[in-house]
Amino acid sequence: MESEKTPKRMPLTRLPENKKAKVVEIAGGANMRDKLMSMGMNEGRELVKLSYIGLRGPVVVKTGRSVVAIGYGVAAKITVEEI
Amino acid sequence: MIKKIYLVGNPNVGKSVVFSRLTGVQVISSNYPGTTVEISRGWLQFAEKNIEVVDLPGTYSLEPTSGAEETTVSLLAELPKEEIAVVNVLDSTNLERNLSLTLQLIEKGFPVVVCLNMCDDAGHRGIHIDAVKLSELLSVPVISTCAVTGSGIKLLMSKIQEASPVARGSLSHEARWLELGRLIEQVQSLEHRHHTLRELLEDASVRPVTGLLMAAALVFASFKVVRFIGEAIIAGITDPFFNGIYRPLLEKLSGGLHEGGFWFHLLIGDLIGGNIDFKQSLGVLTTAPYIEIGMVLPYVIAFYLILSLLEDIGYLPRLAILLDSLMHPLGLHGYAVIPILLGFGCNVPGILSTRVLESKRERLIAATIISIGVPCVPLQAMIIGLLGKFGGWYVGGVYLVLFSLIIILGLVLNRLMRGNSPEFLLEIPPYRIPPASLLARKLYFRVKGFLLEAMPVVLLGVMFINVLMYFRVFDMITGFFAPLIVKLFGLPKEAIVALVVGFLRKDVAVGLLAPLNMTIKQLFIATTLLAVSFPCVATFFVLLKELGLKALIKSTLIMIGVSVIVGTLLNFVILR
Repeated sequence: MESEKTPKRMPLTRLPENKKAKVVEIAGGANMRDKLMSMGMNEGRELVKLSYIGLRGPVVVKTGRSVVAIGYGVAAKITVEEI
Repeated sequence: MIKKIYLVGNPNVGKSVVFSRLTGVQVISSNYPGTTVEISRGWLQFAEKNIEVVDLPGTYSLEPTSGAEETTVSLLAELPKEEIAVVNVLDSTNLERNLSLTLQLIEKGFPVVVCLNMCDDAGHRGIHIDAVKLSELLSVPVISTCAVTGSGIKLLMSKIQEASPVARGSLSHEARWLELGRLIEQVQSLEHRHHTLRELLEDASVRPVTGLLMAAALVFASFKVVRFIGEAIIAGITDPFFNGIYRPLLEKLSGGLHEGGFWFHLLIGDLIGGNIDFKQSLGVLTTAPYIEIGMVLPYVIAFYLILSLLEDIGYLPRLAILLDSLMHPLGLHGYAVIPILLGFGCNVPGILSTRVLESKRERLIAATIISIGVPCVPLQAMIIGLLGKFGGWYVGGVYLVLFSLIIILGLVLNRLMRGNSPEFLLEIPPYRIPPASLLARKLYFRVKGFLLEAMPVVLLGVMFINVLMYFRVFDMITGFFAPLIVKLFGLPKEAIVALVVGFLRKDVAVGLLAPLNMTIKQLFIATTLLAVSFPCVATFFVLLKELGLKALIKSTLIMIGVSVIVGTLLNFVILR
């Protein structure tokens, strides 16, 4: 049957709360990429979306042992794959 | 031979607490990233020699991506590597991410000592780290510490001289993360823990509904508690002291002086209804100490107690998340709430901490907003002192004007200035319960700082004013500004003296406004103008230092414009 379903890709902003996902792509400026990477957010990393505050406010994710708040604009440029 | 010791680590791992422990130099530490915006230096007694210890701002990597990281990288390059030791402070509860910087430091050939800080907290969370094994794998000394209580610090001191460079090849970013994974597997074991109350609260405070409810409750409670503590200190300690002990002493002294003479005028000031009036007499020995100790100090203590508590628990970054989307129209992002909140204590540390904001544009907006719209504790004590007896509406009215100014200024500056606001990206610390000793030290440090800065200015300021008044120098100023003050603002012309003196310190000005017998409308306008016109001289200098002359001039022109507009509007439109 369809055991090999294609995983759903979406921007981090669209990921439902409390769902686990894997980072597939970080678009956007090199500076922001470097900053995210040094905080432990690189491609292939797993994260859990904790909350989204609404009104285009930050998205809060947990990655490893860190909790990071990511501005809406940046979060929209991070593509994740639900697992 | 080691000449300098650098403290390097990720933001919010407790470098400043380790620094205070090593050197005995008190610096402010809090539970949020970016508390240290200035580089602190101290000395460590070491093998009968004094070695300089430098506390560097937190950094995630040695590839400079922000101002703080550039500072760290350039300072580390000042001396040859043989002459320094790097104490790499790590948060034991988040080993993987913290070790990334450790590997980079070792790869670059720095002599490193690893300090696994917050090891007690890690234990509470069921995280166990094998420090001996980690030391073997990294080939550098690794010491577990809990800087808040001081455990492990002695051992750390003794191991610093063992720091020496280790040969380790440079890794790419991806390879380093793989290597980290391997290291972690060998040194860290986790116990499974169920969700604790603390984690539930951490989650609830960043969710829309519960988060806003918690924020509203906390802000409201903070205001109430600050007022309650402040009033309790005044009613229970300072007022009984001034009226019961100090007044009789002063009366004896004033009996020996000739009323109306120079010395009487300087030390005691004017008698109001035949008596010394602490708020109005305006003498170096009467009003000056009363304003600072009897009116302002109680609120300074109360404010910093509550602020320190919120800082150390780790609540402020969560407030920043909640307010982020509301701050964007003002050209700022959520993290600007931290400088703004600090500004409510004193504008100077508030403006200094705008360094946590990335761009020059944001810093100018935040600094201007703080210096015009954020009233410091002394100013707030004055607002309450002058208007409080007419009821909360008038006090609230001044706050409303200031709040509106913050919004309008932010909106306008965001429109006028080129560039756009950078995005929010912030690590959120876990909630921590600060030990009372740490809170007490921080409070003492801040209150002492306030007294050392405020007392000399107030005493000299009042003396200076009295000398000038005695020789009638102010008459010239009042004559010159009379048309502006009287026609536009509807104030008695002497009020200008208070506004000019407000430049020294806002709280000195109250002694000048109180005796003018103004109507409540005039008093409201004068108080508001005192709040929005020039910041005090200390704030002025810090604006100059942080933003440069050009930005200061811009900011000053905005202030003058705002004062004239606000004074005129209040006089002719709002309070008709």
